[in-house]
Amino acid sequence: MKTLVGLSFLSIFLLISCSKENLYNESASFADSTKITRVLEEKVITAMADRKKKTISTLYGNDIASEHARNSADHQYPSGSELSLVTWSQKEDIQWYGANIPGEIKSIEIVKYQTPDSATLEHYEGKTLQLRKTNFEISMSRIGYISGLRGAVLP
Amino acid sequence: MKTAKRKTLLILSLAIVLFTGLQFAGSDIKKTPVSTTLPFPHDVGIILKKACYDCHSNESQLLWFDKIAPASWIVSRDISDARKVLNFSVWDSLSPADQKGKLFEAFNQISLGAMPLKQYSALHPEAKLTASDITILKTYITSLVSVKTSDTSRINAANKQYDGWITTKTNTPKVKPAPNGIEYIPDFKNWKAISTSDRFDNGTMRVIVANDIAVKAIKENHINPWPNGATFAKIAWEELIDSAGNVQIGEFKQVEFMIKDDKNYEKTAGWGWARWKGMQLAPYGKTETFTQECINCHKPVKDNDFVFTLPLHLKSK
Ligand code: HEC
Ligand code: HEC
Repeated sequence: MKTLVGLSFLSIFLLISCSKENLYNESASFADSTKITRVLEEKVITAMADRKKKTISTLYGNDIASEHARNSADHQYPSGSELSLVTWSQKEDIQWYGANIPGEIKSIEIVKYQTPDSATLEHYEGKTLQLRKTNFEISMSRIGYISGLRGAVLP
Repeated sequence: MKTAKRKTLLILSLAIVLFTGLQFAGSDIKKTPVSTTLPFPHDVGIILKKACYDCHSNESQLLWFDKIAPASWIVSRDISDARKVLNFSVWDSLSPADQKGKLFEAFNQISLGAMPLKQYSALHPEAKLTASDITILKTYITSLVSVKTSDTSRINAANKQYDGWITTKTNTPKVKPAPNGIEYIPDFKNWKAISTSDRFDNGTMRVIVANDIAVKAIKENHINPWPNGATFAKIAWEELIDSAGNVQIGEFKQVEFMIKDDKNYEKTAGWGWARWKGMQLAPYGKTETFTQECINCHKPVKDNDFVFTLPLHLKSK
């Protein structure tokens, strides 16, 4: 009897937590524990998708970086700029056939400008956001690519 | 005893007279001839005919009980509302892009269970769509999606718009309010992103951002219903697609808002709706009734407080 009561409480609890899950896109969100949650709260510079790889990405910037991307066409980011490219696998929007939206997080690449001519890349991978080592050449090419992305027009 | 009987008789005969009289009042659904043969494949046409035509065409084939007042009044109001927003008999009058948009909207209304109207399908079981009907419709609309790469004219247009925007920052145009009185909110650029959407149905990329009140609600798990003051902006750009399947953001197309206020905006589902188009930020809509279009399409998610987007779960630090 006790287990039965316990079980029904458990199922009610599960039901409630499920209904909460339905209100958010949890799979695309960061797990609580990550140190880089602030990335998702920075300003949007642009967004893109790759239909072949089925990914969707948003480029975020801290205040210095987004200010620069919105006001000058050169890609010479000032010191202190931080650009974060968050890439998700795409999933179909269950509420709108015709839209693909973020599914699971695949990677986060953070470019940090110490000075205008020197930047570093931090590359995190997977849902658990493991910090990955990247070799020099790949880092340089990713820094070049990410810094070269043009800000989306925002009137 | 006798008077009671007489009273009942009187009431009954009055009711009959009234009921018969009703049949001549109001409602008058005409069957106007169809103007066109539809550009749909045969199987798609059959499905739309059986499930939608009674309301969304000039070929309503009403059953006897639909024609009896007062039911017929409700039916005729539904039909005239329905024809106003979607009428397959005048399909030709829509541009190809609008036709595609309406078909995706129609499909989504069906798959979310909003169309055909419940009160109708309860009485007309033949109008209910089967899983295979839905697959046929889905396959058909999927075949309409454009897969071609963007030509240089689209790329040039995007470059030109960008160059103009990045160099002339100071003179922001004076933006006119929307026809329902809602003022433009330029600060949306600094709001937080809650989703990004690659709309392959109409070739646009969208970013959905939320103001501080909405972000606080997200963090505190108070989002259904959303608190008053919560505001969303959806920004849409044309997509530029290259042969490798890379999708970049092209020309800015529009920004639209939903502002939650269950008192001020009670009449429009608890939200203030507004849209501004192009670099000129021209307010969308001729009269304040433009919001009906927004509400109709958002109605299938009414249990989600009329919000489509399931936001990223931003967490407090
Ligand atoms: C009993 C009448 C009725 C039937 C049958 C019906 N509809 Fe509707 N439909 C309406 C009414 C009334 C509206 C106006 C808005 C509302 O009340 O939701 C509407 C609105 C719509 C809209 C929104 C259009 C816009 O731009 O605002 C779409 C799309 C739609 N219907 C598609 C369909 C499809 C597809 C079918 C068949 C599967 C269908 N409807 C069957 C009555 C009907
Ligand atoms: C044809 C259907 C349709 C119509 C009409 C429509 N919307 Fe939406 N709207 C959507 C969909 C689908 C989304 C989800 C995001 C996406 O994938 O584009 C959305 C999302 C939004 C959002 C972001 C919050 C949310 O609900 O996800 C705002 C703001 C918005 N719409 C405003 C408007 C306004 C204002 C109008 C009328 C001027 C309008 N919409 C008309 C389909 C529609």
